[in-house]
Amino acid sequence: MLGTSPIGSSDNASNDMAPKYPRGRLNNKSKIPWLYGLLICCKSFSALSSFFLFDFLRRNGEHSPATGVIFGNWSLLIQTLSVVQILSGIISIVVQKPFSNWNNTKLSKKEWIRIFRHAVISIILMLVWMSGLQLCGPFRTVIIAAHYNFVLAGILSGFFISKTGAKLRGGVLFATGILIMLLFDNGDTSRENIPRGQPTKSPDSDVEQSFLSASSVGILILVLCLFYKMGFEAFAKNLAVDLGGSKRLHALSTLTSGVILLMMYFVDLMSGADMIPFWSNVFTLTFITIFGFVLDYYMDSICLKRLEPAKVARVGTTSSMFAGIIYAMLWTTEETPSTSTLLAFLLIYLGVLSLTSMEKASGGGSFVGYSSDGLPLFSFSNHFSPETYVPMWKNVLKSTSSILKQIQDDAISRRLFYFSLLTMVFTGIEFLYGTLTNSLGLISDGFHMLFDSMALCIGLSASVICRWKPSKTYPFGYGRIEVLSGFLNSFFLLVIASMIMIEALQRLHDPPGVDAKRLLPISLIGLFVNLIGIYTFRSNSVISHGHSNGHNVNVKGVFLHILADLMGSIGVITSSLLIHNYGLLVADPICSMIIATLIVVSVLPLLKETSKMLLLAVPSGLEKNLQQTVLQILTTEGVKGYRNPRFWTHAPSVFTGSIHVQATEDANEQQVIRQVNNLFSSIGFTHFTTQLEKDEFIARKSFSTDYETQPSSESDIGAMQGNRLLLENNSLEGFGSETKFSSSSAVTQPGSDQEVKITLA
Amino acid sequence: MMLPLTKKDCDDKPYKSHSRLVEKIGGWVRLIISDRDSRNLFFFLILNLSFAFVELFYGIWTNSLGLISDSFHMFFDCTGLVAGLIASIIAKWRPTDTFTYGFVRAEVLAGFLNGLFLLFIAFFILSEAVERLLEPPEVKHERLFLVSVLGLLVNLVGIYVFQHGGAHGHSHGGGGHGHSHGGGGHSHKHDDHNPSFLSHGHSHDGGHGHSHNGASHMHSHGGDAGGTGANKQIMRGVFLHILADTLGSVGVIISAGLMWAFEWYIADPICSICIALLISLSVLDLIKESGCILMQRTPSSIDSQLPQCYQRLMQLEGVVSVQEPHFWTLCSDVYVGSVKLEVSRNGDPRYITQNAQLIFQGIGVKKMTIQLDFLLT
Repeated sequence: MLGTSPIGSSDNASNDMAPKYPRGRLNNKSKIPWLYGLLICCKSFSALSSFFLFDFLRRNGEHSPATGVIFGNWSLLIQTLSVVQILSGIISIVVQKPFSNWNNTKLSKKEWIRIFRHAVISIILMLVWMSGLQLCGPFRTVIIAAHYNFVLAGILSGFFISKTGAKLRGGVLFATGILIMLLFDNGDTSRENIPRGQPTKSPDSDVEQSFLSASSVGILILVLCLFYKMGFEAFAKNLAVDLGGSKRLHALSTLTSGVILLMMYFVDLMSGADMIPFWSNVFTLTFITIFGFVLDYYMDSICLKRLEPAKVARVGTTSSMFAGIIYAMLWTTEETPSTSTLLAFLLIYLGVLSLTSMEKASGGGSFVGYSSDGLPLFSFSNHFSPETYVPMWKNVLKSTSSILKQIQDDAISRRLFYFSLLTMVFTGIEFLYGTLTNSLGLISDGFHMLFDSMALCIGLSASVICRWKPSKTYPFGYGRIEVLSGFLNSFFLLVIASMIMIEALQRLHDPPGVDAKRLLPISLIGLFVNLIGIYTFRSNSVISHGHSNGHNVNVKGVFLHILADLMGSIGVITSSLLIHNYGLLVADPICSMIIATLIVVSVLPLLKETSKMLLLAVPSGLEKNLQQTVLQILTTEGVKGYRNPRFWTHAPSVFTGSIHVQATEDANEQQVIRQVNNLFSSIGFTHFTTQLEKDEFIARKSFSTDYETQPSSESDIGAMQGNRLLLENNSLEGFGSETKFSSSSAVTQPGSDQEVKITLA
Repeated sequence: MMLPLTKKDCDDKPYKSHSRLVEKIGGWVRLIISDRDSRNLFFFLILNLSFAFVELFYGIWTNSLGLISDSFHMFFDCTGLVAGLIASIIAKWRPTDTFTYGFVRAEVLAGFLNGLFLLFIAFFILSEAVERLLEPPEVKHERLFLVSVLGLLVNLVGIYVFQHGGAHGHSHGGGGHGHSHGGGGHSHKHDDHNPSFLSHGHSHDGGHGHSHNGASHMHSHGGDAGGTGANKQIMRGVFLHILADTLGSVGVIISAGLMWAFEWYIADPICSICIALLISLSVLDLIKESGCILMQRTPSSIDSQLPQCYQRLMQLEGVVSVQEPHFWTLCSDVYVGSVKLEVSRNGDPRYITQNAQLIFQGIGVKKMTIQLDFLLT
């Protein structure tokens, strides 16, 4: 069932049952069959409990018509979940005793906040999961949700990392199974399981209905939920380590979420919802809680710790899937699964088998211990061909967690991450509701949101990547990706603005009737989300505004994007109010045009700044300094002139440049180079290269005309204007001289290798 | 670089007559016409714009909203061409105080921009298609058919023109779909016809000419960087743009035919989705490549040769170590580099600098700055 599966189980020796059993799977082989038996039992009961849960939800969904004002259709789910979570929270508190060892690990306020966050996210996950269950029935739910995290990671790695072998096969089988369920499996069961409040469909919408039935929407939800959970758990690993063990985290988080849900429950009751008849269902609910949530979790955690995860996954998934199919056959209220479901079942099962089989083949490594994420570590040193069986899913998990860690390290990327998560959740909700209620407006707004969250994701990845260290392929470092992302975001905004403009012009020509009532709630939600975004990034963008240099163009781009969305929402609200109240149909295009202009105006400075950087401009604040510095070179002792002064901004705070300096015959080379370099590093250049050339060199290369020499006696006469002209002329000739140089040397070039050798000899 | 240094450009400031604007425009036109690529771009842009205007006026005259919106679409498409044209002009500007490398980067930026633009359009098409999939609208195929056939004709002209204009980049229109070999052959032929005046650029042609991914493939034709090659990124972007438009017209024609013949109203969104996917696939390569250049990546074509160069540098008498090597692409096929060499006290700076320059020229790095750091001991 959906509960958080164990993570970080190596570091909780202090407070769980680990002391009872000696560590490692090798020292008590006699218990292994028992454990497998227990696992099978547990899994089959857990599958049974999802059938119970579904049945319970459906019965109560049919019987109690009154729903709360606040939570609406969700109130049933919230009520059920609150009871279940409170129960399981109490049980796990009793088992786990997370408050027992207060002495060393007192929870700080910050940790409570993190637990709270964890709990809220898991509540959302469970609610979504339960609505998925409601939509597509227990059997499909069991098939989809029976998988372990690392098996899923294996699928991902099969697609993205290893292009061959069992992983890919398994992944393809799995994905095909899911697709079959999605596309062809719109059995009759789904129709009546649609939750209450399903809007009545017009009869002509039957065509679309067959395209995406409620059950396939449910499956989509479940699959998304599964993968989201995977990421979430990898993310929660840090927290688990901080709290001293994933089980402790689980207990605390369950309890917290129970409390939160209980509060929501009361709010729901106060807002006029009917209470679900719990007392008549005490048995069902207890069963669901114990077998579906508590026992399932503990069984998984014990087995994963003491047995090979691949085998556990195999046995566990097999047992729950087969239990599911048996129940589905026997269950009275459930129709027998259709052939397409069975086909999907078979495909998914085969996929899981091939996903876990490779582990079995590779299990020859000697067992060492467990990594921090609860996965066993094997030492491969004394085995043949270690490369062939390094489990790919481990790599995926590892890289995922390292990326998450990198995100967590920086305040800006953390904010970006949370905000993009929020946007994505809203996008998902909009798509979901759009497909459910078949509202085109919601779906098109969902695409808009998707685009926004893509922009956010670009910003997020840029903010992570820009902190990477310089590498061989990117010798200046990755800082430029921020500029690129800022450019990209502002460019997209410009395109969007022009599109809005075009649309507005068309509407001005022929104002369509706008359904103001329909648009209003969507744009209110959008306004809300974007206000959060503005609030989140306000401080950063203020900083960057104050810094004329544009400290963080990346965040600025994201900020502008959110700002544009905000303006869009405000515009839609205003225009729909105007249309609704005064019938001013022309308000819509006019508002759009104003917004488009505003977007363009606000985005142009950023676009200019970033494109200047991308075009290799001199650092914007440094132009004056640079001229003076270049002049100072000429006054340096031993310098006769310079050539090819080249400066550019690599990233907002990384300035780079190079210059060729002509020195007198008797100058000390090292000193001149150092002085020139010091001059440039004093005004903020991080990478600077000076090439020193002496007279004879130049004479041979016939460069002398290119040099801008300036006798020391005239240097004081040179006014600013004149010098500037000099500099300009100088750089003008830059390209020409280079071409000359290369073409003249082209003759000698092929033999350069031999030449070097000859001179060496 | 072949910078056309016209007289007018040099003494721009003294002239302040009222005919300055005319003169300026004349200068621009001359600048455009002087180069084959930008000339092609310009004429195709004019063709496209006139088509769009005809459509617009006809639409207003017959009061057909569909035609008007299609003409707006055409205008929107033209922006890609305009961007390419502007960039090809800007790229010819000479270096200034603030842009010490000149504006050649505009070319890469324009390619990047066109790629992004196409990606955006693909996304837009995709979203529209999904909406239509859910709610297939009534499509009047007769009108659509005519417009899209005309559009197809215009775009075919464009493809024809640009295929001949700057042949090298275009193999990449198909590059995303794995046809890079065919393209390679074509480009090589082009190489033979072109009397290349920078012979050293070819030294690495053989080794890399047949590598399979697009990125290294295009760099292998470093030889003809002089004239038309400088605009490669722009032309690639524009070509992809036109290709996308053509694909769009073909899709509309096919789906109109299907709707007309079999009443398959679902054909339209499915065609659109396919087109969107095709566009984004073909454009990814361009975006990746120009993005890498903009990020100052070490040019992938010389990536593998750099270690050898360092080896050879170390063999020079007096060189102790090679430090902080930085190499990057200024615009397509113009590489810039800087390196710091630690040199022993008795090393001959002239000899070392000269030979190091030669070594790096051997792999095509034309702008090299070599700093010698003398060890004190």
